Amino acid sequence: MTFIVKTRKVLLNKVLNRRQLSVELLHPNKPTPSQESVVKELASKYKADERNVVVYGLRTTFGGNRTTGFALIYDTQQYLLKFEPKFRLRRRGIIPKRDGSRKGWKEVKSKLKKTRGAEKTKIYMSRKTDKREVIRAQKETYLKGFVGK
Amino acid sequence: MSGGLTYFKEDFPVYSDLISTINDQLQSIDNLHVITCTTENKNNIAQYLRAKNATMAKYLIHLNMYLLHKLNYGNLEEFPVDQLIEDKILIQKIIQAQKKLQYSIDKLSKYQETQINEDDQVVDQVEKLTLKPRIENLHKDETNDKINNPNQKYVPPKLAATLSKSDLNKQKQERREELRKTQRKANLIKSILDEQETDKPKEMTERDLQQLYYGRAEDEKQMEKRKYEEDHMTRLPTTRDEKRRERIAERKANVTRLDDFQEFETINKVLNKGTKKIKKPQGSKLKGSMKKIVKRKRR
Repeated sequence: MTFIVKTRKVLLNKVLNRRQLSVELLHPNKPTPSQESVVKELASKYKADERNVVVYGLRTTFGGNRTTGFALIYDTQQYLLKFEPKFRLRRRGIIPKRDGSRKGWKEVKSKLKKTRGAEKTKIYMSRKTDKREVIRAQKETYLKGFVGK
Repeated sequence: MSGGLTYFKEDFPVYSDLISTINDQLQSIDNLHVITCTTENKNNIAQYLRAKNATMAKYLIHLNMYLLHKLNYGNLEEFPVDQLIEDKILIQKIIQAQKKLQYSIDKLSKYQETQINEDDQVVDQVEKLTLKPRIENLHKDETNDKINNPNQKYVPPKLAATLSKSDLNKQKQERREELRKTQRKANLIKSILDEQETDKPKEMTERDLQQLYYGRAEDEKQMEKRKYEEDHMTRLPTTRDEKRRERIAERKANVTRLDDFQEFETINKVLNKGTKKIKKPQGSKLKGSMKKIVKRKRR
């Protein structure tokens, strides 16, 4: 291990079935460690499955040698899929990324400003990629292939 | 029989004392009984008092029977002692509850006393429990002074100079700046004194530690931001001001390194310690293009 992990403000969130904590990494004269290495360390420390651990918000301080971030350790994969926001699930590859370009979305927005009523919803729904049924189906397919430890 | 007489002689004074206490208790029950009988309304307090009186009287009667039984040297096993114990426990619970109802009981008893006295046309002093506040007297009409005192002259309000809010804020700011100046001076003197060698241990605050390890201490704004982020488990976006401050701090940090020429001198001394100066031989042969460069410089 090339860095030291310190955890602070550990909170047990029974409503969302997870443990919330803030993470501090010390890595003198070395670059910031990757998210995967941090996830491995936390999983071994808290005796959890690596796939149930979420790390985000890693930021190095000015001058280097220290990074701070946050971590969430869920009880099961089902709760992770239920409570995690979609952008983080997309980063993990559970939900596929959005199709379409940023420019396309801006064009749609300009059209929406000019329309009203049923036409507006039609244009909006044509562009909307992450529909509720689609995401639910994607999560179910992921869970079928998931084998717990 | 003689044995019984001796026991009777020993126990009789105790029995007489107990009977006198029972009599006293009965008198208190009588007083409350009068009150409860006279109250016409179905008051909860009256019901409570009636229940209390009944249980007390029952307990006292049973106690009296127990004492007589004991005096007569009768078989105490046949006597229902469990009933006595039950009654006593009941009375204890009732007395515990009485503490909460004491105010209302006192009110009732005093009301009854006044009623009885009024019948005899003897009115006692005003009881505090019967007093109630008059909310009408709280707000007095001050605008009707003209109607009340028509002969009074009109006295206009006094005009006095007052500071506006902006002026007040300015004063506060000035005071803060003065405080900051004095603090800066005090810090200077403190740092000078600390540099002197003393046996006193140095106090390292959080900011000093941050300066030591990371070369820069946190501002108040940065501390606030960090606390907010940690409490809410989110990351706030970096603003343009923060980026600018970081760039300036980086530049300052680099500039100090360039000015530190002393480091090079010390390093060179340490490296060359023990080595002799090698003199260049005369007429050293320079090769190739270096000859031309040296010739140009000499000119």
